Amino acid sequence: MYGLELENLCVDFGNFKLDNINLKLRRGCITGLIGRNGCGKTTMINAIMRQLEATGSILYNGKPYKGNEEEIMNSLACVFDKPHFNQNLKPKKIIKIYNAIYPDLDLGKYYSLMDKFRLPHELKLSKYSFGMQRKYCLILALCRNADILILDEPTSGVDPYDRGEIMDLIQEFIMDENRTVLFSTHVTADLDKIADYVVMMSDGKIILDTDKETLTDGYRLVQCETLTPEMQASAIGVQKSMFGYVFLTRDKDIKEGEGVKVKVPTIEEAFVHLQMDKRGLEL
Amino acid sequence: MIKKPEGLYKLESYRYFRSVLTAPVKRRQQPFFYVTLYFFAGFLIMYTFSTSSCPVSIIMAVFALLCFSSALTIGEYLRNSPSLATLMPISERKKLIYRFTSSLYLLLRIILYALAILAIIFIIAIIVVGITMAVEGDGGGAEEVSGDSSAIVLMGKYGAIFSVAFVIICFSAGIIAGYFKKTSNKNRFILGFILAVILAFIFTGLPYAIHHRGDLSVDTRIVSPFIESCYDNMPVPWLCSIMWCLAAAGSLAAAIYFGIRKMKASEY
Repeated sequence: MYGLELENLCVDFGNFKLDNINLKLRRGCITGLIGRNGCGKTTMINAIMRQLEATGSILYNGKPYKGNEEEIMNSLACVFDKPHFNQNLKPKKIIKIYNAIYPDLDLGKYYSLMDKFRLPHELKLSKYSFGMQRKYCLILALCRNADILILDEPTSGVDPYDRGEIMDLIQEFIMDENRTVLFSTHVTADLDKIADYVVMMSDGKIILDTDKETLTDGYRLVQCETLTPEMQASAIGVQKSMFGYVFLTRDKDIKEGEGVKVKVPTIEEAFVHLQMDKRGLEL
Repeated sequence: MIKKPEGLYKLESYRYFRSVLTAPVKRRQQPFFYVTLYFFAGFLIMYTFSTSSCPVSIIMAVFALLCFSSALTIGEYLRNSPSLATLMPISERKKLIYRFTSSLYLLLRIILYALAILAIIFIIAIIVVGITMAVEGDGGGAEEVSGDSSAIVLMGKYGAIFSVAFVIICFSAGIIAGYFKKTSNKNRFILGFILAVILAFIFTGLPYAIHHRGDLSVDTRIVSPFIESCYDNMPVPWLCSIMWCLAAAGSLAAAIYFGIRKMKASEY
């Protein structure tokens, strides 16, 4: 069963198009969304969250939006790429309104997370740092007890210690196997830790949708001093540096040797090389 | 611990209104926006004030202006998405209805604030007058001030119909202006609306001025459509009222139509 199903989703801004997006997010899984700046990640998230007009269809837990608006909006929680609150408001005011709007809000969890991340209740949001605002938005999303959690760069500006805490919270959120998480980020190290699936976007299209193991274990990252013709034949996204060459290859039998180092790539390494040479995407 | 909805929060429409006000609003509007709004306010108040001795007509003009501004302000808040209002778990139809009620809540809030300020000014004035009278002794020279008891009568049937129609037109225009996503389109609409209002005021008041041409009394000016005498020299004043009512119904229908079109577009 899928938590979120996108079918032929299109958004047209004139100068930018989200082009025929087809994507299925499995329940009980964390799907990482990666891509270069301006590739359409935030546009796709805004379309899922009904913040802009689109064509195509989206099913939330198997249900269309029309006719199920109330249920669906209750089951969706999101951390947007920018704060969606008036900066002059204080958290204590926001939570009062939130509490009135969302009947399933877990206030106990809210207060405990506010204490955990040391966020003051009496301070205006404008006085919060960027990282604090990201954490505040994440707390609001997590204490909603929603079925589908959409995260648009929730850890940007957050210190490494709290990032670790956030990863634990997201994993805890997904524990009951009935929830779905879409996690868009540029900090791919976070996805290395918690993602089950990885979706890669480029120029408004999905160019890769696979499980994390296939992405990382399906390739090898090779560092070598000289590039032989055999290596060149299978090399994907060759990067030249002062120490030699770095490239990705699908040849898993490539052997380490003198001046040749081979390892399983991280998501970031795979992403960088696949962006350089999209021929390598044919898994 | 915060409890579940209490007081006004029990009303879903009020909850929506409160969520609208949590939206991040761009701090800097274009100067055009303020210039046109101030111009509109200035025109309405000065025109009504200078062409009418009826205080109710001035109150109605200010009220219509507040209706326009409150609807426009709610539209401005809702233009900034994502916001809590757009994410609220209610149907799109309710969101459309609550867009209208939110404008009314804001209007009510503005009026309450204005009344509170007026009450404070009144209390201060009473204290100052009291102190002055106490200093001056027996309060000699105090004159009895009488109100204009015929103020409402001066509006007459047609003036009252116009007032209601104009309030609805202003409210609907504010709602429609709020739908525009592009600032340039919104500004063009506001400018067009204000020009239309000015022309409509002048044309409605024209029969009175034409009839009294040559007469050098104060009444030779164009009169405000809020008062009865504006309709005195019209051959068919009821037709004028019907036209204003049609304009009001049309603008309200347009406000609802644009809302439904927006609602349909979000139902993909």
